[in-house]
Amino acid sequence: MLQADVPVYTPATLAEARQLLQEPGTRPVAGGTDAMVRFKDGVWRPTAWVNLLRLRGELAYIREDGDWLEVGALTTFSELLASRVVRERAPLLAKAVRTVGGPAIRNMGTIGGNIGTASPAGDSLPALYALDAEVLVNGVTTIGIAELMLGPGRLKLQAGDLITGVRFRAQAPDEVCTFEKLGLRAAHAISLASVAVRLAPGMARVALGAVAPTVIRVPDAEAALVAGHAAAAAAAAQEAARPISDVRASAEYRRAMAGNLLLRGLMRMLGPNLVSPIGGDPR
Amino acid sequence: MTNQQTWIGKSVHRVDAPAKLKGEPVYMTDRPLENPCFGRVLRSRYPHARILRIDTAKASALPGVICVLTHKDVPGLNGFGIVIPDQPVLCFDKVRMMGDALALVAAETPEIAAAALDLIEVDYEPLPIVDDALAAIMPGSPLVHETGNIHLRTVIRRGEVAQAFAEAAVVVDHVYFTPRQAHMFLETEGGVGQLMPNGELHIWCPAQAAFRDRLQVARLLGWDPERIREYSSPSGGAFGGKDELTVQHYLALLALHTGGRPVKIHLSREESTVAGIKRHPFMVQMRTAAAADGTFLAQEAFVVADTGAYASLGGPVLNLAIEHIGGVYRFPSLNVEGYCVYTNNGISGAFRGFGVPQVLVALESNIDEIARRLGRDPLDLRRQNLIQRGDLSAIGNPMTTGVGNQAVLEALENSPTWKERTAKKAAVTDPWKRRGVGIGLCMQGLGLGKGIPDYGAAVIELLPGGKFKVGISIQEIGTGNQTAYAQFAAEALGCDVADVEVIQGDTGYSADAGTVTATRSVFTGGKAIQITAEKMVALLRSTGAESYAAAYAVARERGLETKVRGSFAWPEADEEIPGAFGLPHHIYGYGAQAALVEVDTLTGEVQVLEVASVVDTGKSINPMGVEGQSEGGVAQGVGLALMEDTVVREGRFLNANMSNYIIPTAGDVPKVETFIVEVHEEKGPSGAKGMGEVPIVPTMPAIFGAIYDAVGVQMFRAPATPERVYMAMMGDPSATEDTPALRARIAEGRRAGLAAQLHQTEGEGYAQPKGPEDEEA
Amino acid sequence: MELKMNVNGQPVAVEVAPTEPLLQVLRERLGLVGAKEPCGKGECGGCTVLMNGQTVNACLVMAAQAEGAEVLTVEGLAAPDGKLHPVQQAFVEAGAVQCGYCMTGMVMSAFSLLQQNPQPTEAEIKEGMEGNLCRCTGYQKVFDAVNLAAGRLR
Repeated sequence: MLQADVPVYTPATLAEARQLLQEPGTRPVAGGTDAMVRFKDGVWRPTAWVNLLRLRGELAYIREDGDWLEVGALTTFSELLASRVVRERAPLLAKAVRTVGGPAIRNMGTIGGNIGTASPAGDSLPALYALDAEVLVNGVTTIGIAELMLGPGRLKLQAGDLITGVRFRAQAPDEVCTFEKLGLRAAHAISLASVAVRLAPGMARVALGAVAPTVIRVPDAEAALVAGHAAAAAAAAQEAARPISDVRASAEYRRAMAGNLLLRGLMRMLGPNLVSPIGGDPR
Repeated sequence: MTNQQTWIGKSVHRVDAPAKLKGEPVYMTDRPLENPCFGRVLRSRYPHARILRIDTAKASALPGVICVLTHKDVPGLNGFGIVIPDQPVLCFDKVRMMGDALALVAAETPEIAAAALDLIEVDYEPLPIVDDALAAIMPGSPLVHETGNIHLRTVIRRGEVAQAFAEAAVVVDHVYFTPRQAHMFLETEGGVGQLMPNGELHIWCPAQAAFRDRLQVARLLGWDPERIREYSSPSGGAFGGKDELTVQHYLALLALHTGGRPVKIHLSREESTVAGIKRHPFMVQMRTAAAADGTFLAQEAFVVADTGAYASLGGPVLNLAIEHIGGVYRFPSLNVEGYCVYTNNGISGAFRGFGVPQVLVALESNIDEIARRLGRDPLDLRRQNLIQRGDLSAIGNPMTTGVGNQAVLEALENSPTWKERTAKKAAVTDPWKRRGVGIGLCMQGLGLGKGIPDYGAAVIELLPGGKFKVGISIQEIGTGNQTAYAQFAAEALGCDVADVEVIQGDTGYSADAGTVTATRSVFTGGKAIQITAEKMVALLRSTGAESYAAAYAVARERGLETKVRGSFAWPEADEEIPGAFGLPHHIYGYGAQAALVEVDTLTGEVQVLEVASVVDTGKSINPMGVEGQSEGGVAQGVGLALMEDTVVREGRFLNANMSNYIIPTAGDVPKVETFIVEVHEEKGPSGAKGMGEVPIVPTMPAIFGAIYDAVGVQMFRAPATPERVYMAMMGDPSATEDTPALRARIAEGRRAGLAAQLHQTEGEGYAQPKGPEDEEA
Repeated sequence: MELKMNVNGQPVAVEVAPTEPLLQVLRERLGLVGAKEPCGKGECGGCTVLMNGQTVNACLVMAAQAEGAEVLTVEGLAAPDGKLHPVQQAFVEAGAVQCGYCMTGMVMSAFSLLQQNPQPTEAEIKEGMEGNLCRCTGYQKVFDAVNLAAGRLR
């Protein structure tokens, strides 16, 4: 089928969208920043597109619900960045989202799309893992983000299922966090490796991006951090990484970076004196 | 009219800026078209294969397809190439790279054209791939061309090399590798072809050599060039990448089969990357000798340039690199041996700097090491060895024109980046980062070089109201020459810049002034316009009128020709360098840079914080334009040094799009401070030389020097990606590729190259200039 | 499908394929060639236009998604008499234009940045322009231009 002949349906309600997506071969499209690229490259050849933008009224929101925050799937990265609630109560997500693309990409790309594409290099995902996020499906059920992600581009969803939002507990005021991203240039870069870290007394979260088939949490690193052992945490991160070699970087380097980015993040959060580096000072 | 200098040296606003900023259809790929059809090119599926069969029947039968063409439809010479036509227009016997073209389609829509490509059946017999330039020289390597894989071998020897190395206090010997940088001009190759009702073929296509393009198209069509008109300016960036034919040949062939309808081709970024030319990747083994007092004694180098499947400008690129193998320094002894080699790795050709950045990084890095080993200040050591006017360059060229070295070095020394380097390095923000400062000095031969016809020509037409139209074939590819030409004309004619319209790149309007390459456009166009303007002034005098407006009226009344023409030949060196076609150059641009970098020791990331960029322009025609070129050259140099490489494995392209082939963003570029040095060039227009290529040349060595200064590791392979820097910092043995095995391969390559040279029969292949007698290699 | 939009203040209705990128609709169907296609994949910003008040990469917007949208292209910035918008004028005066091919996208990003943040810091300017790739200028004079425009629009 010529691309010019692929229909685009624009449902007005979630129910209608779900019905359309039950047709085999259809795909949802929101901001299009991933979908359109894959379509043009011929990687995705849907029989029809289901354009979700008319559902923005329903699915673009940032809600506070006591300790919880809930973000609608069609919320754009720009909207997340502009949100005082996100900046203050989920600063980790704000830091991660800031590294996505450039302004126009952030205006188009959505949090739901980033989840749906399920790329291990999706920059909002390590933050969501570190926030123990739950993904809302069809507006009714929830599934833990780690449970949802099966592999690159693969999700534990049925035909007709639609990601409608994501929810997580707000970060505590006394915690510190950082998102460390390593790309091949300063902006508009695909992650070679990334680390999302949260720390509070007795609590640590470490999630690694782009060093395994999915984003991964590193419980050993978290335990080491709770015990105050930065070097052990970095070593655990390197141990947990299962990176690949590609045109951008070798697996060996990515593995080393999983640890070093964690160290860098710790130094940024806690000050360099509180962290003992591994690998030594090259000088 | 006035003789006062009112326009030269003034930062006149770009005359082309408003229309471009408004989005007017000024580019060739933006032209509004009446009833267009759309062309596509079928590219190879293999990097090296025999073609057994091409069947276009199904594609031709697809509704909406207008024509499908193959090699059988090339009426003239089925080959093109600036120096030798070794690249097939449409392949017939075999393919040698992924970008090779096998068939052309014109259709009602781009998508139908794409669908038709899928219906063309080609049977291939894959052949062994040549993907390593050094391996390509070796005996037994598969052949890319039947004439052999060595396109050009150039050897220059001078002085007592062996003795110099024996007597040296310091000898530094390393192997360096530079990447296959892609031009990544934002406007990909494209354009429109149309057979006009008067029987002429018109081609609108951004390009760098309108008249030569016309000749190449005429040759493949078997036409009189006068029947072809190319409009080729402005271009949305070129940098050398549109010097060769890009799509003109395809447009020409298709336009003969579309019934007079305009046919448009505009390459996708991916197709552009795969099919377009690149910067030649170089391997440079360089051995440099210095005396205990710091005097440079000898320079020895073995250079291999990967030109890919076809020559394009590979030979001249190699030779320009060799000409600059000693940089801006006196070397009494020299032994350089260079190879330009065919492989199946796409195709390389002209790119800003033209081979010089590839060898300069080796030279300047070696010099830094000499300075360290002698305990010398790197800038001071360079000063000691600078070529002065009247000296011989490393290849033995008497430097008789304006030499900017001394002034350039002084400006560098006084730049804040260098002068305040201690404080700047100490101002590091994060404790896991280290800062360093490095420098690089360069020169760059201007114009095409000895023995290559190089000339300029212009027309000036007097218009009603006393306005002027200046015609010159040299294109505006972004450098600002359109504005500079208006300034030259206004200055010479004594009018306002606003009264001058500059028409560029149109073979139907102006005479042939050659290419917009080799930093020749300000010199060539400026000189041609000045010479032509004298004739216009003479015309005015002959009318006896007081003003150009009145002169126009008088001229019309008397039936005088109101369009005047002028031309000149480029000055060239008296003596050629034996064995090195096109060498030497006669006039050189000079430049130097200091770079301040910050290295993240945890990741190997290098951020270039600031660059002081010194350029000797001769007279600077438009200082703001010079600054822009300087800033842009540095940005491309940052890309070359730190992030850019078209990765080709087994002949296939791994990063053809802009998400994987990355160029610097707004967040990656340093703050650039430009220092213009004006060393008057007597032979140039108003004392000008030109400077477009200069600023990309010293950036890579300055950055490499700064990385060393920061973290104590020398980079030997560009780009210095975070991974490479990190691995080098960790002392990873694979970080230096200079192993005994590589040295053995180099030695074998030298022997094989010499043997191939000796076996080459005269008149076969590219007419290779004979080198001096080879000693035992 | 028939696509109805408002482009540069004018209602338009044009027959398109629903998946056709907005960029093609603008360039090929409406003759608005200010937005370019340097990469086609949302990497370079050469096709930046404003859609419903925000910058988007027009190469990644499906025509069907632009139904009913307010689109502003670079052609809509200058005054009807041809006088440049202050942002465009600043680009001229700062010497920001070289080949110019990326500059229409740059202008749209700068225009949008200054709309949202009339007094951007140096870092905010960099951030605002980081989605627009330029191969000629090294960006420095682009930053100068945005600064100059900010001063004038203030």
